[in-house]
Formats: sequence, structure tokens, C-alpha cells
Amino acid sequence: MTEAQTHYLEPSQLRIGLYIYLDMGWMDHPFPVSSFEIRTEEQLYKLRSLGLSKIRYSPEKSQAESKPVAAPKPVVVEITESSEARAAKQRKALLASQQASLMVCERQFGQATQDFKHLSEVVHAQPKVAQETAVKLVQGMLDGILQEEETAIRLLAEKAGEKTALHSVNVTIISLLLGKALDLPKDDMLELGIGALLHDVGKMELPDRLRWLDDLSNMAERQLYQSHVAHGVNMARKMHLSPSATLLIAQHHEFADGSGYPSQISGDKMTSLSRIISLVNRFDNLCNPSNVAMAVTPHEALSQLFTKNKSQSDTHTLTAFIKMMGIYPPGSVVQLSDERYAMVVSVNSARPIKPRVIIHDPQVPIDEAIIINLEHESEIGIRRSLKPIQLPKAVYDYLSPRKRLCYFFERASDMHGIDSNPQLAAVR
Amino acid sequence: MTQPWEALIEGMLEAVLLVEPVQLTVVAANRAAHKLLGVPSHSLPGRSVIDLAAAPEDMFFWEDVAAGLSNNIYSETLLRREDGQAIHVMRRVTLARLDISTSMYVVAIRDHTDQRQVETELEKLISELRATLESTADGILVTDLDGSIRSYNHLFAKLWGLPEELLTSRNDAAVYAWMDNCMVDASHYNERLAAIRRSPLMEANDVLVLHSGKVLERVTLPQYARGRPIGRVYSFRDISQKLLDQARLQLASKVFEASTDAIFITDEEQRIITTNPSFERLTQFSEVDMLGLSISDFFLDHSNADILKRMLDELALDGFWEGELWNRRKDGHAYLCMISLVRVQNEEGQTIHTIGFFKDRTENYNAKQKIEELAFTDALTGLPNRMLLEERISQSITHASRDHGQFALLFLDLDNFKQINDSLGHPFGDRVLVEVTDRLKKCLRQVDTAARLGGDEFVLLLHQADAGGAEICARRVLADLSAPFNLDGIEFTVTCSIGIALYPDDGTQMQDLIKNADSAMYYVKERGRSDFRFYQRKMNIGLLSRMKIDHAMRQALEHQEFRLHFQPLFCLDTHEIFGAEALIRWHDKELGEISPAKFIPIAEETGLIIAIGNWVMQTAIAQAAAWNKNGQQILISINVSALQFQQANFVESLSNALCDAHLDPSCIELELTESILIRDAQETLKKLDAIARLGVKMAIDDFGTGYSSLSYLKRFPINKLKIDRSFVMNLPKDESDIAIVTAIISLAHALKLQVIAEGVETQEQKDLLSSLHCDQIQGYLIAKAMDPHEFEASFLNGNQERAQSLAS
Repeated sequence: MTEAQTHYLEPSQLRIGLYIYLDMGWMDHPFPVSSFEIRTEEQLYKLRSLGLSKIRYSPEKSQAESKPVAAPKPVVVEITESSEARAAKQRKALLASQQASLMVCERQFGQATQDFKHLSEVVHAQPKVAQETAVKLVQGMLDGILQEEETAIRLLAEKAGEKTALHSVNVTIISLLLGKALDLPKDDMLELGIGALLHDVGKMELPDRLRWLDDLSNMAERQLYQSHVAHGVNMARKMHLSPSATLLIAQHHEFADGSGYPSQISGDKMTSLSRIISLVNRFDNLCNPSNVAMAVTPHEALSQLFTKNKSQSDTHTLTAFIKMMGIYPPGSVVQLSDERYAMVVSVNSARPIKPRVIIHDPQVPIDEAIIINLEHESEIGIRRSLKPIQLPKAVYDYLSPRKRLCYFFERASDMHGIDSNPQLAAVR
Repeated sequence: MTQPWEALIEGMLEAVLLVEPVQLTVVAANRAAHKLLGVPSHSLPGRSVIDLAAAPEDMFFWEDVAAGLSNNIYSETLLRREDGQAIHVMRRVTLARLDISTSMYVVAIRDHTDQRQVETELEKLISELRATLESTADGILVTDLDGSIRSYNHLFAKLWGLPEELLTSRNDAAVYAWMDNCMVDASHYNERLAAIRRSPLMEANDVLVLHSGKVLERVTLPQYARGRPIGRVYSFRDISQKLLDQARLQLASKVFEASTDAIFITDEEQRIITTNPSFERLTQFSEVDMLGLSISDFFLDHSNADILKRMLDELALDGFWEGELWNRRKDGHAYLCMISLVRVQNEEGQTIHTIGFFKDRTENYNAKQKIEELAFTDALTGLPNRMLLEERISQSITHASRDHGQFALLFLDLDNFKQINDSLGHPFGDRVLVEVTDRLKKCLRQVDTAARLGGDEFVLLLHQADAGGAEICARRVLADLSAPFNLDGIEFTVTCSIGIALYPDDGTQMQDLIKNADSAMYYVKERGRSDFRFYQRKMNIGLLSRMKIDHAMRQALEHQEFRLHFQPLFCLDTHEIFGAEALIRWHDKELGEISPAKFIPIAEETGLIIAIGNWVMQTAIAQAAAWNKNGQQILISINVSALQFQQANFVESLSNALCDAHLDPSCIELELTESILIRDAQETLKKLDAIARLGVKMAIDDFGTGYSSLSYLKRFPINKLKIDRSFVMNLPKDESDIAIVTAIISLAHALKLQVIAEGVETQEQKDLLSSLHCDQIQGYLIAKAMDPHEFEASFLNGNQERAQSLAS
């Protein structure tokens, strides 16, 4: 090992221009790479918020002059500022950067949704245009939203069960994230994205009545519904999609145990990309069913995929998926074993049941909310995941700074002034 | 080792597993645990706890335990039963230290399925409730008792147009302020809202008018929980359209009831469902009579089956039908009705009603028939009237212009027909007209048209006639009409004047032709009547101005616009102005100064000369009276027209005027034309004698130009002759004029009459007349006619010098 590895700094000593190394799994930190030069304030905040006591850095690669660890003065100065106040400041900065990131992501998400809607409109009349739009859209995602993977997952989880969520876009983003976690080559990523985006394109051929059905009791209807796969393949040909993207559409309802449709092929006959989509498609259908009332939390969706229908998924893919998402994916609203509400903000891939959470504490100002790493809290664990709607609105607003509609009957609001009748309370 | 543990946990309600911390195998499990996992009794001990873990969190937990990272967990999780079914459970794992060397994991599991089911049910219920609230037609706002907003639905936001920033952040005050701003009458709205808030139990129903024009109905009820109010629910409904519809409906119903049209409305199968009061008035069928009848039932009559079929076909096709058909009243009486049928469709395009409007046209129909007759014929004579004539003429024009043909228009006016009417009465006059009509018809071919324009005016339209044909016809009419009439034993003759216009020479338009024929006819009238004449271009101008002048004269008379000017009369013996001739002057605002030579003939023709003459006489006498005071002696000579003179009361009115003015009659001299004297000599002589007895002097005007009869000079009490200006004009050069003037002067002197010469303009003329012993002269040489003030200033009150100097 070189000398460089022996230089450490306290988080408070970090500054722009330093080249740092993060000695942790990349799923444990929010950065795309584990060693880099600090270029923005945001990166600084994020680094400080990691909760590390010291961070390794390389004086040779750094642009800025580093302050030696031993330098007593700054440390004293830092310490004279109350550690509590410093912590609050850091939290504030971290939350601000998370919020900024969320807003960026949400905007991209919204744009993707718009683009996809446009694509759907022209797919019949101008298949070529639709194909080009799809390519551009996926490339945009690869360059944009996927760079902020934790934020993206968080957003998806937060939006779970909301009317505004768009299945095809969700599936595309999650599939690409999973593809990235599986280290797929760049070309495959593009094909994966296009296939995912257009996997349900055949549904446009179905009568409206069937398109939104989740539970088909009637055999004939079920067959008709399943024909959307064949329609999708036809349309893929019209759009001149690549064989691998077309195959994705063809196999997105096949399961590893051969219980899927239309060909009932088993996992070894499915392409690796198809295994991803098959899993992600089921996941999102659980989180965002047509009937919003039937939606489950991302955590429960994962749990179900794992517990009930483990055999339907390719084990390798499922494992990677859980590693990426965590047991409680970022964005999940949870109740801790001490009854407090919290929201998962990042995954700990080494110990998925111990993610980092932001905690609702009315004593702490909303913009300084406390983030704790459950890994370090042996006595606090996650009791259960909740649907956002089950939270009092004030709590949810506290935990997630995302802008959303209020007042409407859609989300539970605070219980003030009303008796404990849970029905009424929830309606309000 | 298992036995004691099992005994301890066997009776617990929760499923409990005891797990050995090193191997992580189950040491003991109670009955509840076996049951929960669906495995045979006593089968769990010895199994690896990791194998039993189905949910990822359990697997990761036991991995943590194995790695020494964790020793407790308490969370919801999924458990897979032996039959593959996954159940929701609450699971708690704790490490129990029994003594220094022994510890054990206690896994306690509680079945959460029921609770989950309840939760799911609840959530479904909630989402359904939510969906219901979001799907109502009302905007809903829920507040607590303080008015803080609990929630509202999307429709509420839409009705009030809440902007996005009010939807994404909670700000009750801003929402209320926004609503305030929407209100037209915000203060009243706020008072009302405050009143509602003060009374938690109040139930209120208000109508709110928004600036946007929307009208909302607000119903608010207290929200109750366990019998006490906990808040308030407001529901808002957009009633703008409803109000509009209601207003329309009310209006429609009023129209229906009050309409003078009979109205019926059918259902979608064209069965009548209602009728209005006018319907019963018209048809005598009551609403009850009509209910259930079809449109065909109502209208069908043997006479209108075809039109009825067409009506229903067109109605089905076009959605409306309009037309007339005959129908019968309840009593069988037939009536003609004008019907409009309208099909009313709903939004889907299905016919829901047919509405029929109709009214009785029978009277209209009859009246129309009569009107048509009346419109085209003259009621008295049965001849075509002006309208029909115009139609015929335009037909003739069409034909003639197409065939390059021609035709003639004869404008015929009976001469002096007014006298017949005046003397024998209108009924008699009408009979004459009928007789004239018969004679006219006999003069015409079948193809020609005789029309009566009114009064005694007729127009004859001669088909394909040229000038020759027209002349033949005109002569025949003149001849036939001139044969004596005999009605009621009264024998008389009627003559007429005819003007002829030829198409296309005298005009190609109907109006031109009629106007030109009329002008030609007038020309005949002016020149002695009882004749015919072809139109010549210049006639028209005269006619136009004649009509204008006639009208203007009547106006002038009414508005006192005529004036009198006076032209001095000069005595060649005394070289003194001894009098003046009163001459009428007229300045019209539009036509300017109009010469008497132009308007007097017209006045004579129209009879207006009588009124004008009277005015002249009255005015001149009054003026003479004014001037003949203070011992002055001024003779005023006044022109009298034949028509005026013929008035029965002429002498009486002259005498009255003189009396009224207290004027010595000898100050007045009447100038009479020769034509007066010629007519009815006996009657004239009586009048002249009467006038002479009054003391008024008389002169013969324009002597030498008319049909002068020397005998009347002898018989009539004349004082003076006036030599017409036409004889004076060429003096002294024209020898024959000298001879005439000499002769007239000699004749007059021989008959002891005085002589005056008018139009004297030069000294030579004066000298000559003087040498011929003419007594008096007048003319520009002495003075032109002037207004009374000027005359007074120049020649009265001792101003004779000027006149003398002028005349010397």
C-alpha cells in the first residue's frame, strides 16, 4: 500500500479540492464512485453526513491544500462551536442537498412521464418516431436519474400507491438501476431500458375494460388480457426494435419456475434482461396496482416476492434486487421499535435490515431532522413499514420534503380536533 | 433438556420458539408455534431457525446473529406455513440469558393475519369513501369548529379555482382569502360565514355569486360524531347552468301558456302529451281529447293525406316542417292552419319530443283572396287598377323589349268632370264613370287594357300599337265619349283629353311612359281640352315644375308668403302719379322669385286663383284704405281673374271688403280680362252693373289680344281700356302697332273711355303716346312695381316731385 492511504481527515476538515477515498461499500454511500475529488458543497455535506469519524484522502491527488490532522487550531475552533449546533448545521445541509436532489429527480421523473405519454400517442401512427423517442428517453435516464440512484429509489418508493405513478416509467427506472447493480454492459443497459419502457405497449390494443384489470377471473378475459404480450411483440417489430428488446417484451410475463405466460418457459430459457423485467414488473404491480387501495408498501412487495413467490424469480437477480433496494427501500415510511416514525433514506447493503433513517421528532426543526444509522443502534429497529397514507400528514411532510398536494381527502391528516374513530380520522 | 422449556412455554397463547444461540436450532416450540406454522406437533425442535425464516428480514437477522452483530428484532414479517401460505405475523426475538453459561433466543410470534385483514378492510373502506367524496357532484369542504380546514375534494378546488400554491401548502387563511376575493358581495358573504361559525348547529343553505359569473349553492351542515358537533361540512354545487335552465323553463312555460299560437307537444313516439289553451280555442279539442293521439290522427283528413305524409317524412328527415294545411275543428268546421313542427332531440340525438305550433289562417286566407281582387281591380268600374296596370305594362315592356316591338300608352282625363261631381253629386259622377268605362272598353281590342287610376283618370294600354294605331284609338275614344250621355233624364256631354306616350320612343320604363303620357294630356288640357296629343320631350319639364309650383303656392298662401307690389300709374295730362296697379309677387324659399306669368296660369288651372285673387283683393283694398287717408286720392287697380269673377259671391265679397276698410269705392279699379266678358254675357253684365253701382271703376286689361267684341264695350259699364304691352313694345318703330294703338285710343275716346298704355319703357314711347292723346301710362319709364314702403316713400305724402322729375 502506498503512503497515500495513511492520510486521514475529520469530516469537518474536508474542503473542496481534496481527493478522498470512502472505505465502505458503494451502496453505503450516495456517491457514484468511492474515490473522487470533492468539487461541490453538496458533496461536502453528503460526506459529512455519512457519519464517519475520519476520511482517508490523498494529498498528491488533491488540488486544495489539506490541513494536517494534527493541526490543533482548527480543531479547537471547531470544537468551541457546540458539537450539537455543528451537528444541526450538518443535518440541515444534508437535508437541503437531499431535497435538491429529490426535486431534480422528480422533475426528471415528470419529464420522463410526459415523454412516455407522448410516445404512446404516436406509437401507432409513427412507430419510428416512437422508437426514437424511446431511445432518447432511456439515454436521458442513463445520464440523469440513474446517477442519483438512491434518490431515484426513494422517489419511487415515496410515490408508490400514488395515482401519478406511471408503471412503465417506474419499471424502466428500477430495471435500469438493477441492471446497473448487476454491472450490465452499456449496450445491454440501453436495450433493457427500451424493452422495459415498451414492455406493456401491447396493452394499447386491449379494450379499456381489460387494460386496467388486476384480477381476471374469467378464462376468456384472461386470455385476451395475456394477448397483450403478442400485440407488444408485433408493435416492437413495427418499431424495428432490436431482437433483444423485442425478446424482453415477449418474456416480461414469464417466470423462472415456468409458471408465467405466454410460453411458460423456465428461467434458464429467459434472457438475463428478461429476468430483470419479470421481477421488476411484478414488484411495481404490487406497489402500484390499478386499484390504489390494493397497493402495498415497497417493503412488503419485496417481502412478498421473496417469501411467497420466491420460485418465480431468478435467485441471483432477486438477491441483487434486495441488495440494491434493501429490505426497506429508501423512501419507505417505517415505524421504529420505539414507536417513532421514520423514513428510510439510504440502504446498508451489508445489513439490509439496518438502513439509515430520518426520524420524525417534533422537537427538532423540520430542516434539521435527525438522520440515524440503525446499524449503530442496537436497541432500535424497524417495527413495520407503513403506507404514506397511514401517516399523519404533518409527520409525512416532516419526513419527506417533497412538494405534494395537501388538504385533499387523499392523505391522512393530523388527528387534532376529532375523536378516535379511525375511519373518520383516515378520511380526513 | 427440551422438556422443561416446552412445559414452560406450552401454555402460552403466542407461538414461541426457543433457539439455541450457537447452532441456531430450535430447542423447543409450543403448540401454538406448531399450529401457526402448520407443522405436526413436536416436529420443530431440532430444525434450523434459518430454514424456518421465509422473509428476507428474518434471514438477514439470523445472519447478523450468526455474525454477532445483533441479538434482537421486533417487527412485522411474513411467515411461510408448511403449506406454502404466507401469513402476516408480528415477531419478536430476544436473547434470554438464563445463567452465565446458558442463553437462548426466545422467538415470540403473534398471528397478525386478522389485524392485517382488518387494516386492509379499513383501507379499502377509506379508499372507497375517498373515491366517493371525490366522485360527488359537489365540492366539499370540511372544517373543524374553529373554521380550520380539515380537507376538501378536488371539485371544491376546481369550483373555486384554487391556484396550485394553495393546494400544495397548508394555509387556511390564504384559502379563505381566496374565496373572499371570488365573491361578488364579499362583506355579506363574510357576515353570513361568521354567523354560521358562531352557531355550530346551524344548518344553512345559501346561494353565492362569484366574480367569475358562477353561481354556487352552498349547503352547510354540522359534522357530528357521537352526537356532538365536531366540525362542519360545506358542500358547494355549481347551479349556474341549473338557474339558467330554470329561468328558461319558466319562460318557456309562460310562453306555452300565453302563446296565441296553438301548441301541442308529443312524446318520442309522436303521441300528444300536452296542449296549450290556444290549442283548445282554435280546435275546440281539449287537452284530454288530444292525449295519446298521434300527429296524423289529429291532422288526417281525406283532403290532406298526401301533404300529411310529406310533412311527416320531411319532419323525420330535416327535423322541422312548416306549411299550411286544412284541418277540421271538433264541430267539423274546416280551417286553414299554418303549422310549424319541430323535432326536439336530446344530447344523444334521439328524438324526445315533437312540438307543433299552428294558427288559424282561414280569415287570413279569405282576406287574402279579397285583397288580391281588390288589389288589382278598381272597385267602382271593375277595371284593372294602377297595380294591375303596372303589371301589364311591365309585361308589355318585357315582350316589346324582347321582340323589338312597341306599344302605346294613352293617358285619359275627363274634361271638367269636377263640375259633374260638384253639381250632380258624387253618386251621379260615379255612374258617369261606369258609363265612360263601358264606352272605353268598346274602343279597345281584347288584348288591350283600360285601367282606372282613380278619379277621372284612365290609362289605355294598346298592345303592339304604333303612333298610327294610337291615334286611331284616341280619335275613336274622343268620338265615342263625345256622344251625349243620358242619365236620369239628364242629357249632357263628356269630353276628355288624351296624352299619348309610345314605347320605346317616349320611354322604356313604365314610370317614364306614364309620366310622359300624363304630360301630353296636360298639354291638351292647357290648350283647350277635348283633344289628344303625342308626348314631346319638353312637356315634361313644364309638368314637373307645375306640380311643384302648385304645391308651393298652396304653402305660400297658407304662410302669407305672397306680397303685393305697386306700379305707379302716370297721367300724361297732369304729369302726376294718380294711382298704382297692385301686382302680386312671390318669393319661394326653394324656387326663388317666381314670376306671376309662371304661377298665375297654374293657379288658374288648379282653381287656386280664386283664393289668391281674394287675397289680392283684400290686401290691395286694405292698402288703398291706408293710403287714402288724410285727404289723399290714390287709385289702386286690382287684377281679377275669370274664375274669381265667376264666383257667385264675388260682388258681395268686394263690397264687404270695401266696407270693412271704410274705403271710398272710387279709389278701386278692377282690371278685367276680355275672357271674363265673353262668357255668359247676361250673367256677366249683371255682375258688372252691380260692381259699377258700388262705385268701383273697371278697366279692360290686355285690350286687343283676346276675342274683343265691340258690342260689350258698348253694353258693359267699363271706364277704361288698357293697351296691351305687346302693342306698346315696338313703338314707335312698328307702324302697324302705331296704327293699332291709334285706333284703340280713338275707339276708347269715341266711347268715352279712358286709355292707359302699359309697358312704357322709353321716352319716345311716352312722347308718341302723349302725342296720340293717350290718357295714362305705366311702365319702367315711370317706375317699376315696388313694395308699399318704397311706393309710399317715393310718391305719397308730398313726394310727387320725384315722380314728376322722373317722368319729365
